Amino acid sequence: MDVGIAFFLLGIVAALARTDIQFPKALYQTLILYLLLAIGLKGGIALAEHASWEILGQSALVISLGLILPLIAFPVLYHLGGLERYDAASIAAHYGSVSVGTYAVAVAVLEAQGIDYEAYLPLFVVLLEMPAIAVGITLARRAQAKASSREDTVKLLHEVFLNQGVVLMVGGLVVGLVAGERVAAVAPLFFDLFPGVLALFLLQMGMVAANCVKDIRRLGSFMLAFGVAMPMVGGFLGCLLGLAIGLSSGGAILLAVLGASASYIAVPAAMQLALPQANHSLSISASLGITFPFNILIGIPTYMVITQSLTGQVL
Amino acid sequence: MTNRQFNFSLTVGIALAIVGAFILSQAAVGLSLIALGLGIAALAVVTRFSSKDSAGERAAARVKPSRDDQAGYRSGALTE
Repeated sequence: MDVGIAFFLLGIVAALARTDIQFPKALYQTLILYLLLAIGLKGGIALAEHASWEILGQSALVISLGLILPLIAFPVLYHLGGLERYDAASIAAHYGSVSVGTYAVAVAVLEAQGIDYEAYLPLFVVLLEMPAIAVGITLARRAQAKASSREDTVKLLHEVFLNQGVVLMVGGLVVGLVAGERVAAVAPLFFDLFPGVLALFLLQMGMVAANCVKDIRRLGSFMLAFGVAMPMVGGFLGCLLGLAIGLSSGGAILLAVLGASASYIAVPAAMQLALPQANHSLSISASLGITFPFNILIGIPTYMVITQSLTGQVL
Repeated sequence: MTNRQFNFSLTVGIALAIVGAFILSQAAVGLSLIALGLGIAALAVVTRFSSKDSAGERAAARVKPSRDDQAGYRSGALTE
């Protein structure tokens, strides 16, 4: 078992046993900042080495994945689940976007198993953050006659394009791209310590996920089914797209993980601004309490098996 | 739980179990998917029947008393 996943399970056990572990909020924020910067830097260095027009074409197709996923999720939530339009649109936006934490775990799993992947994948993480938010808002506002004020729109655009996730990852990418080999000076902090910091992050996430158990009970079997089915669909589409645009098996697995993951950092903040009338605890509980643990414990190995059977390669 | 929610949950549960059965070569992953799928299907069935039962109980509670019962209430015979 991967060390990070073991820490995640430890967090779940600790929370279920009601152990009084105090995880300072500031430390949690620091871990997120660290992960975003480290992933961005790594991607920037890879971009400096492999920048090509091919990546531009791949990026356009990856953005289309971010547009399609909420369009799949919304009708399921709205028509089958019978949720309010705002709630359905907000949850769809969460599931169309990505989780950096899940991506970081997938990278750690691939590296532990010695599976190669395109190191510029963090670029796709950034690109997949935003389109789903725009689709979610559009879906929700189709029923809303009232036009939003200019101030609201500016605030929202700021949240979509300049949220901490995007700024830190794009910032890391640019620094890595410009600095190239000179990033070696900060490598001991950002690369060598990465697995340890990820383990700490997963310990906290395990506790958070276990604390969502009450909410999951309240959500019922429909949301549980949705929270598991949607990542499977997104993962399969991501894997197919990855192979179609010529990524390696490792790259296809990572794109599958991006398609499967649901945001719990950037999108909630944007949705609170854009759709204040939506029930945000519903989206967070589904994303953090169901989909994140599913992806970490079962999803990632499943996407590896799916990729293996699609490519016929033994990973 | 509505019919649509129930059908969706049941379908997802069964589909997950089938996917799990297909990838039993990776025993841990396959078995986890089967267990999760069956769990979701079972939860959907339990929720469905328990909500039907409670709906039935509520409906029974709302049943209009028969003429005889009403006569009994009026006479005070059924209040003791």
